[in-house]
Amino acid sequence: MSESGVPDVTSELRLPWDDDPEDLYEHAPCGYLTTLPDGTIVRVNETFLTWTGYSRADLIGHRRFRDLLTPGDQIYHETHYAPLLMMQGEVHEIALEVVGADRRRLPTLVNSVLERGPTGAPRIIRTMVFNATERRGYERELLAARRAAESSEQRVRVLQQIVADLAAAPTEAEVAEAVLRAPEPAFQAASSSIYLIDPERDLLVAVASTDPTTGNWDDMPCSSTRAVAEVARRGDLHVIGTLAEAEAHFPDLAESMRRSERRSVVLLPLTTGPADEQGGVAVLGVLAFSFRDERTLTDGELRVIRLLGQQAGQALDRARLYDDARRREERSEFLARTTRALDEEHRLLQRARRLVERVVPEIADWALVRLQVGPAGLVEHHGGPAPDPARLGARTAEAIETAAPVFAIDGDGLGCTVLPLIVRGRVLGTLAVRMAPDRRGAEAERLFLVDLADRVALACENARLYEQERAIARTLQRSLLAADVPGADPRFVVETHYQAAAQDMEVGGDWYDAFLITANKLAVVVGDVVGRGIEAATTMGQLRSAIRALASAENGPARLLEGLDRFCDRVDSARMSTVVYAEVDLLSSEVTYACAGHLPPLLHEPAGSPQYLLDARSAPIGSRAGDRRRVEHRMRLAAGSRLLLYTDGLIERRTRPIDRGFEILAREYARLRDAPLKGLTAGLADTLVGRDHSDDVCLLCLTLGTEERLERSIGADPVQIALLRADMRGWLAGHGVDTECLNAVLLACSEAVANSIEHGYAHDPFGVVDVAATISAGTVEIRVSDRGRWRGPGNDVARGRGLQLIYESMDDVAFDRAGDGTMVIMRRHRGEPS
Amino acid sequence: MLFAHGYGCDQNMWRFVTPAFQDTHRIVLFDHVGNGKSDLSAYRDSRHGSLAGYAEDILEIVQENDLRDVIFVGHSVSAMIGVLAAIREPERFSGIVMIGPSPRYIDDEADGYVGGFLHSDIEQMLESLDSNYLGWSSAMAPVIMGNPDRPELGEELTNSFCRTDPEIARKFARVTFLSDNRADLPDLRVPSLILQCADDVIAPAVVGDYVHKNTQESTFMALNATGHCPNLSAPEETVDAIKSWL
Amino acid sequence: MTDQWVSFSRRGMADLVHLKGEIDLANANDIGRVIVAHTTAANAVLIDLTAVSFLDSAGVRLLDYIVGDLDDRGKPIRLVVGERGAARMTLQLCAFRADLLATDLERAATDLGG
Repeated sequence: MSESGVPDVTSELRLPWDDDPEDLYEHAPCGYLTTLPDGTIVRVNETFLTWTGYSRADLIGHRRFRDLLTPGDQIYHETHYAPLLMMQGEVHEIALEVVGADRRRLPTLVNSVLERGPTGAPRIIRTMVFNATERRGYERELLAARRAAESSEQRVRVLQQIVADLAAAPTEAEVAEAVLRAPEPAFQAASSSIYLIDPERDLLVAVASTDPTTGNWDDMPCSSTRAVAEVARRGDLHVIGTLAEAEAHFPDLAESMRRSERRSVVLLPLTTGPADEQGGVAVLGVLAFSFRDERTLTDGELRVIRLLGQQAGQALDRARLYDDARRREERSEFLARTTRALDEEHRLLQRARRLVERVVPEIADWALVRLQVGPAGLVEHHGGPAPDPARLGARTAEAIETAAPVFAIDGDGLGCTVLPLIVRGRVLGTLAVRMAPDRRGAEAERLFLVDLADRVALACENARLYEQERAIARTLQRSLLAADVPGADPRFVVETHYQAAAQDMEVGGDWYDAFLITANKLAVVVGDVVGRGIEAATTMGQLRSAIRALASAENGPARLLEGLDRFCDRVDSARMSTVVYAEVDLLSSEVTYACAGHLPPLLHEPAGSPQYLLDARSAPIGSRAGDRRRVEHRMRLAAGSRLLLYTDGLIERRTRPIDRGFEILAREYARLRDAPLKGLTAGLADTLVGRDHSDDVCLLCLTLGTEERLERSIGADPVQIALLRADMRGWLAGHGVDTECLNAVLLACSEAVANSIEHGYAHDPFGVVDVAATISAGTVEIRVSDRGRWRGPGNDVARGRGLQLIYESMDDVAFDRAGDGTMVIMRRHRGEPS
Repeated sequence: MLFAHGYGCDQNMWRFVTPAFQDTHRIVLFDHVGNGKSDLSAYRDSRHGSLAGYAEDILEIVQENDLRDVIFVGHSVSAMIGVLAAIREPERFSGIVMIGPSPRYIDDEADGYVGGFLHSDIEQMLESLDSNYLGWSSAMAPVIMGNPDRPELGEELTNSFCRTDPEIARKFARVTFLSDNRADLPDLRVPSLILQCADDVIAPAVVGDYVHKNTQESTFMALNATGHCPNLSAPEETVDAIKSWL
Repeated sequence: MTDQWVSFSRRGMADLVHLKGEIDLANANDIGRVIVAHTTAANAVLIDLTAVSFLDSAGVRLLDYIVGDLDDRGKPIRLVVGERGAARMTLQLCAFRADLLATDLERAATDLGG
C-alpha cells in the first residue's frame, strides 16, 4: 500500500474489528441468549432487551426463552424446535415471534446451538435472535400470495375438472350433475342446487341438489316471482352477500336462507354465451349455491363464476341437442323394432296385444288400442292405472270424429294422447297412450307418435285383411270337409277327422271326401294340395269337385288319376297335389285303390296286424318329372276290415325319419283295434300329433262290412259310452236287428257299462270296460266285464233303476263275479226278421 | 415395544430411549404418514382426518407384523392414538405408556376443562408452521421430489430430522390440536402409564391429572424433566420411569 | 256346453224344453242343471223328448227329479214322447206315470194351459 503513496489513515484509528468483545456481545446487530437446557435464560444481550423492552432482571433466572413466545409459537417451540435441538444439537432459521414487555410482537429468526458437557449431557443453549420484522412481512406477503395462488390453483383445477366433465357429459342430467359439483370445491360453498328451464312447459325444473333439504327446492313456473326465476329471466349473475340483501330483493330467498342457515347466496344463470352480448344468449337454467358465512367474492372469483355459467350453459345446450338426437334415434329404433315385432304376429288380436306390450313401458305407462272390427270391436290394453273412462271416451270420440290426433296437455286431467289409426282414409280404430309428463321436445314427440300411429294402422289393417282371408279360407275348407259323408248304410262306416294346425298358420290344402258313385260303389279319397291359404283352399275345392265328376262306375282309380293330370293343365295350382283314392264294391267287398304321390293307406283286417298298402303307386298329380303311368290295385277285404287314409301331417316330423313315423302309426292303429270306430280318427290324431302341431292333418277311416263278433274296450269315462253305442248301433243294424230289439240292447249295454264305470271303477279312473257282442239267428248276447269292485245292489236307488232297466230290457241276465271283477251276460231274443 | 412419535417429529426422537429396551424387548419404530420417511402416497384425507385413522394405521402395523403383548409408547398426540388403538383391539396390547398426553388441547369453557390453549393459539401455531415451511420446503424440495442422483442432499440439509410434508403437517396439526378424545379415556381397558413432565406447556400437569383420573388402571408419574419431550431432554429419567412401571 | 242337447222356448203358459240326441250318464247332470235353472219360475213345464235318440237311467233320474220338484211346487208338467222311440221305451220300462206322458205336443200344451 505504501507504494501507492496514499497515507494509511487506519493506523491512526482504533481498528474497527478491535471492538471490546463485551461491547460487541451487548450491542451486536442480533439478540443473544444463553439458556439452560430447560430454556431458563441465564444471559441475554442488550440488543435483545432493547428489542423486547424487558429488563435483564425480568429475564435472567426467571423466564425461559419459550415463555417469551406467542402461545402458538410455544407449541411450535415444544413440538419442533426443542426436539430438533436435542437431536441435532443445533437448529437454524426457525421463525418465531417474541412477545415484548409491551405485548408487541417481534418476528424473529432464531438459530440455536446446544452445548453438551463432558458427559454428553446438555449444558447450555446459545441462541441468536435476528430481527425479521421486514423479512417476515415480506414472507407473509409471499405466503398470502402463495395461499391465494394455491386456492386459485385449486379453483382452476376444480374448474378444469368440471369443464372436462362437462365436455364428457352426453346428457342434460349428467351436465347438471357436473355443474352441481363445482361450487363446493371451487368456492367452498356449503351446498348447491340446479334448476333447468323446460321451455315446452314453461317451467324451471329443480333437477338436482347437493342438499335437497335446503331452501325451497322445487319446480316453479318461469314467470314465478321467486329469486331463481327472476335471475333466469334477467340472465345475469346475482350475488346476495347478506341476509339483509336477500330481504330487500328476494323475500323467498331470505326465508330459505334463514331456514337453512345460509348467509350468502350466488344465483348463476347458465347461459349459452357472455351476458353482455346483445341477443343470442339463452338462459338454460340457474345454478344456486350458498355459504354458511357471509362471503365476499373477489373479482377473480366472479369472473370464474360467470365463466362457469357459460361453460355449463354451452354444455347444456349441446347435451340438449344430443338428447334430442338420441331421442330421435331411440324413437326411430323403437318404430323399427315395433314394426318388426308386429310383423312376427299375423293375427289381429296378437298384433294388438304385442303393440300395447311394446308401447308399455318403453314409451308410456299405459296404452290401449281399440279397433273397430267385428260386431264387438277389439280392445287390448297394458299398463296402468287405467285413466278415467268417460274422459278417455270423449277424447277417443274426438279423435275418430276429426280423424286427427288429440294430444295430452298438462293439467287436462287425463294425460292421454289419442291417435286415430287411419288407413286409406278410413279410421280403423284408435291408439291411446299415457306418457310421462317429462316430454321435452314435445313437438318431436308428436311427430313420433303420429309416425307410430301410421305404422300401427298399417300393421292392424294388414292383420285384419289376413284375418279376413283366413276366415274365408277356413270357411271354405270347413264347408267342403263338412259335406255329408255317406252313412246309415250297414255295409260300411266312414269316420273322418280334420285337425287344423295349432300354431297360427294359414289354412292348409288337406282334404278328405267320401261319396257313393253308385248305390253299391263307395269312393273314399284323401288328398293334399300344395301351398296354404285361400288359394290352396280354392284349389282343394276344385280338385274335390273334379274327383267327384271323374268318378264313374266304369272308370276306376287309375283312369280317374289320368283325368286329374289333365285337369292340371287347366288348373295349374292343382299340380303336384297328392291323392290316395279308393273305390269299394259294397257287394263284393273288393277295394281298388291308387296312390298318386300320397302316403300309403293302412289296412287292418280283423285277423292279423295292420299293413301298409304299397301297390298302385305313381307320381303326384300333374307331375312332369314323375312316373305318370297311373296304376291301380284290387283286393278283397274281410268283413270288419278298417282302411285308414291320412295326410303327411299325421306322421311326418322334422325330428325323426319317416319310417319311424310309419312304425308309430301302425302300432297305435293296432292298439286301437278294439276301440270304438267313432272317435278313432280323432284319437289317432290326438295321440300322434297332439295339440301343438304346425301342420294340418286329415284322416279318413273306412270300416267295411259287419264284424261277426263285436269286441270293444273302453276307458272308464262316461263320454265313451256314446262312442261304444254308435259302434254297436251300426253293428246291430248291420246284422239286421230290428229297431225295438236294437234299442233295448243298446239301453241294457249302456246301463251295464255305466254301472261298471260308476261303481266298479268308482275309484279307478284308468279302469277298462270290455264289451263283447255276438249274434245268432235268434239271439243277441252282450257281455260287459270289468275288473272293479262289485258292491252288489244296495239301497242305491239310481243304480237300482239301472239294473231294473237291464232286467226289463233283456230276456236273460246273469252276473258272474267269479274272477277279480264282474261280468254281466245279457241275452235277448231277436224279433222276427223284418 | 411399539414407539410412536408425537406431532412435529419422527421416530428419531426415540433414539436415546430405545437402546435401554433393546435387550428385553422387540423394538418397533415407525413414522406417522407424512412424517419422516413415511410413504406420502398413503395419506388419505378421509382416513387421516381424525385420530381414529392414525389408530387404524397402528393396528395395521400390529397386525401385519403380528405383534402381541404390545407395550405401546406414545409421545404427545400418539398417546391418544395408542389409546384409541388399544380400545379397538385390547387383546393385542399389554400396556400403554403415555408421554405428555392430552385428550383435548383447547380449553372447554362449557365444562371448565383446561387444555391450556385457546382456539386462536392453534391458528397462530399453524401460521408459525407456515412461516417455517416456507423457507424449509424450498430447500427440501429436491428431497421430497426424490433426487436419486444426489442422495447426499438429504444428509447435508439442516433441520434434516423431523421432516414433514408441509401440507400433511398442517392437517396433522389440525387433527392433533382440535381433537377431543376425553370421552374415549374411560373405554381403555389396558393398563397405562402417564408420564407427566414439569412445566409442559403442551400438556400441563392439570391435563395429565385429568387423563389419570379418567383412565382405569392408569399409573401417574411426574418427571423432573421439563418441557414436552422428556425422551429427548431427560432420556434416562424417562427410561427409568418406564422400566419401573414395566 | 249343453246347447246341442237342450233348448228352450214358450208354449202358451208353459215353458217348453226341447231335448234331442243321446242323453246318458255323460251329460245328464249338465242338462239337468240347465233345465232347472231355466224353469225355477215356470208355471208349467213341457219337456219334448221326441227327438231324443237314447235315454238311459241317468236321464230318467234327471226327469224324475224335475217332475218331483214341479209336483212339490204344484206346477204341472208333461213329458212329450213319440209313439215309439228310445225315450218312450226307457220311460215305459221305468214305469213312469201315464198321466205325465203325452204323445202330442199341442195336446199337452192345451192340457197345461187349461
